[in-house]
Amino acid sequence: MRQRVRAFLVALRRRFLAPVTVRLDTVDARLDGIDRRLDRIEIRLADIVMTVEAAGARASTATEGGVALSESQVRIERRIGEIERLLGAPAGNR
Amino acid sequence: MSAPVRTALDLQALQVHGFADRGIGRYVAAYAAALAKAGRVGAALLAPELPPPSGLADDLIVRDLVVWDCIAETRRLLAEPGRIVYHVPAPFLHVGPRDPSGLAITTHWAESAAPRVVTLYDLIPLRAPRHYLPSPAHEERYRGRARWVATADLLLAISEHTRQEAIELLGCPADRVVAVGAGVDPFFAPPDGTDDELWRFHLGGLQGRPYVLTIGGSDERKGTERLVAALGRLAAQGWDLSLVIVGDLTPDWRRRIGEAAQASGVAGRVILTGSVGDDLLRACYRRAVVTVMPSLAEGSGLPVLESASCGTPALASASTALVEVSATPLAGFDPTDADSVADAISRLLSDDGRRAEVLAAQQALAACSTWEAVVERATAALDQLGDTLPPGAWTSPPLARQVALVGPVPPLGGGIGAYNLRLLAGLPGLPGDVKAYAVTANVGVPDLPAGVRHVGVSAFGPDIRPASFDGIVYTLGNSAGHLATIELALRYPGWLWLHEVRLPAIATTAFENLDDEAFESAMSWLLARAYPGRVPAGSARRAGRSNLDLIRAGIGLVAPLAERCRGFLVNSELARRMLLLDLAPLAHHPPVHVLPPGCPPVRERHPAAAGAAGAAGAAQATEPLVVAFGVVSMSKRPDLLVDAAARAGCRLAFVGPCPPILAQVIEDRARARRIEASVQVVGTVDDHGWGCWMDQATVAVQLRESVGGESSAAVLDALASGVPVVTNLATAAEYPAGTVSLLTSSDPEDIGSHLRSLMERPDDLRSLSESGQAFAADHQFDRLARELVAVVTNWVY
Repeated sequence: MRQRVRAFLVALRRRFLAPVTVRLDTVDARLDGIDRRLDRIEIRLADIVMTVEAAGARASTATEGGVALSESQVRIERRIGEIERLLGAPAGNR
Repeated sequence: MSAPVRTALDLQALQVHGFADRGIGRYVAAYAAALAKAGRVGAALLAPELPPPSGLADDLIVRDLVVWDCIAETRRLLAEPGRIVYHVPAPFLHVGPRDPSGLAITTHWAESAAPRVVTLYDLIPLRAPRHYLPSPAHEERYRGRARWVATADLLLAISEHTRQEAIELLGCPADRVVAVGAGVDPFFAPPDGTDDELWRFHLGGLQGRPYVLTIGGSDERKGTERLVAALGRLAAQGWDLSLVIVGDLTPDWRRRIGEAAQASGVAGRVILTGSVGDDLLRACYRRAVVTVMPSLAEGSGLPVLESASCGTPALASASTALVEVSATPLAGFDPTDADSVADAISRLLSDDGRRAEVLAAQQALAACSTWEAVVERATAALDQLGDTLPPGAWTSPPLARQVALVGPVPPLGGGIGAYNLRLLAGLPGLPGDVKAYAVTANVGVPDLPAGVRHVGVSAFGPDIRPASFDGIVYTLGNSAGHLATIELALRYPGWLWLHEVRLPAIATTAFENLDDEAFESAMSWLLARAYPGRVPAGSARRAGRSNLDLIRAGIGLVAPLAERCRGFLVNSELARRMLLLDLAPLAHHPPVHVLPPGCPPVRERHPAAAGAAGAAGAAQATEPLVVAFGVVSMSKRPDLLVDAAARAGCRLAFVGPCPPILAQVIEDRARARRIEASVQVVGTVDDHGWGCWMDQATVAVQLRESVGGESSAAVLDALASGVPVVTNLATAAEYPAGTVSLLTSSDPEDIGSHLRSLMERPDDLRSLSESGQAFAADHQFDRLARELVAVVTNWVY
């Protein structure tokens, strides 16, 4: 009797738990995939932040100073050179 | 008897290269010393924009007379008892546009209406304009200055010839032009055996060789080439003579003299000493057989008398003022004819009687050509002026307070530009007669409030003297758009108004085009300049070009600006603390003043008109609306706001300029939180649209990722519009309790709960609205303008 019960339980496990285990393995693999994707997203996000910062800097240059409206790139370069000279930068610093 | 007339004496001539060490500079230095000794100098004025003075008499410093020429000193001098004139002893330094010597007439003296006295050396450029005024700009500048000279209350001419020139060329009334002459420094005296070693060291090769001395210059008018030709004639006649030419010659002129010597066969006999000091000049005079001044025109000719004082006779052109200093017709020659020059030299050197007669006449003239005599004539003329002018001419009206605001105004400058414009509107109406100037990099003249004058950045300095302002305020934000402001701030110190106290973006955006290596090199130098001995090299390297990381690393880069400013202005106590953290620790700093915020006028809300704004989610229009006003940036954490809105269950709008990539980030986030229908990125709106959104907003929210010490114009706008404000902005914590609803957490769940809970309490919303408007009413721009002017002009209301 005892043996029959044990055999029944084994059969039951095979029938019901094996698919669950397989599913669990699949879920596990998917989670690994998601993890890897998250890593990629994180890297991409950092990339975006950098881009945004650069775009923000350019946007603020455009809005804050309106450089394009007021001064040419040549004049800006000359200003930078002049500021460096006023601050005592050695010649050829840039 | 009236009190003697004193002078406010402009000494710019001692600060301008090319003038300080030459005749005019020497005249001004000696005249100033003698005038001070006579007690007639109220102040010796130096231009703060120019290099340190050369040849400034110690006595002026000992007597505490030397001051920087600025409006505050003018006001002080005019308030002193007694009569004072503004005396410009070198009015024609100002001839080159965009040149330091092109400094404009000082506005503060012009506006003071104090009587004006000038010293006139010559008007040679008007006699030979093609030679001396090569461009229309030169001519315009010179003739403009000549008109200014012509309208002076008194002209002191350094010779009778120059006096006649002023009458003839400038049309000056004869009674307003007085010849005062020039003085010979007693330093120029006969040989006393004290300078042999000096002589041998510099010009030992001339030992035992007779030579002719002349004072040359890189100018055809000086006639030096003709003198070289005359030397050739004399050599051909058998005279064993050399020629010593003293003076700083350009390379081109050194070449020309060399070629002239070669052509005349006297190449080995011409010695160019370059620029020399008075001691070597005296040694040269003492040992010359004769000094020759072959110039075609001079306003005076002091070397003739200096030479005679040293025991050497001089020959000079029989023209212009040289006739006066030659003292006798025996010393004259035709400067246009080399034979005439050679003949004059040969006759003087071969006739001891003639030589003695010329020397005696010139020494007699030199003996009475003292600076004391010059000053005696000048002071007599000044006192005569004192008697001539009506008493009212000596009473100057109070000078208005002049304030310059340097920085962008719309359409430039974003928030700072708009803030500047509102502030400017408040300046002209202030008590105490304030004159306001906007100095901007705008192309063309921007729209400015009534009473505000415009000055382009390139005119500030050369055409409009910064020293004529009681206060100069430079408004700065953290971007390369402010480079023009920084350049002016370094040149002409004033008050730096830091709307943001950490400014790394100015450097990173200015260096944007550099490759990585050049960028690192430029930043390294700047960091070493800002933090000497304690460079945050590691954190700067890690931050690279990231402004956020540089700010997080505490790199503000303000220290180099602190070296050259009157003081700092900031918008909050927090900003003051952060600024002090960026400056050199345990060292002296310029003062830092915290200014109150400036709010726009308080306005009524018109919710009925709100629909015009076209808010998102019309179907859900009954839901409360949270609006983030102002420029959208990552530092304002729009992602957190979307999360918080999802938690709060409200609508959310971003109203203000938004880079496309951030709009994408916001939309993606809203989609992920399944609230895309409730989130709207509106972008830039006009004033009307802005007002509509203000009317419609249940709450205005303003987040900051980090503590920056800045205030937010958007928050101040919302307060004035009666929109309850929720913010974590640290500076808002300085406002009276209840003005804004402060966030204490940056967790989106907490922010969402905070918003939800607040929006469910209408009484609290109403209270915030009322408190905000009361705060705005109490902090209008006229109050800010008043406090600003009080600080920068040292004025007490």
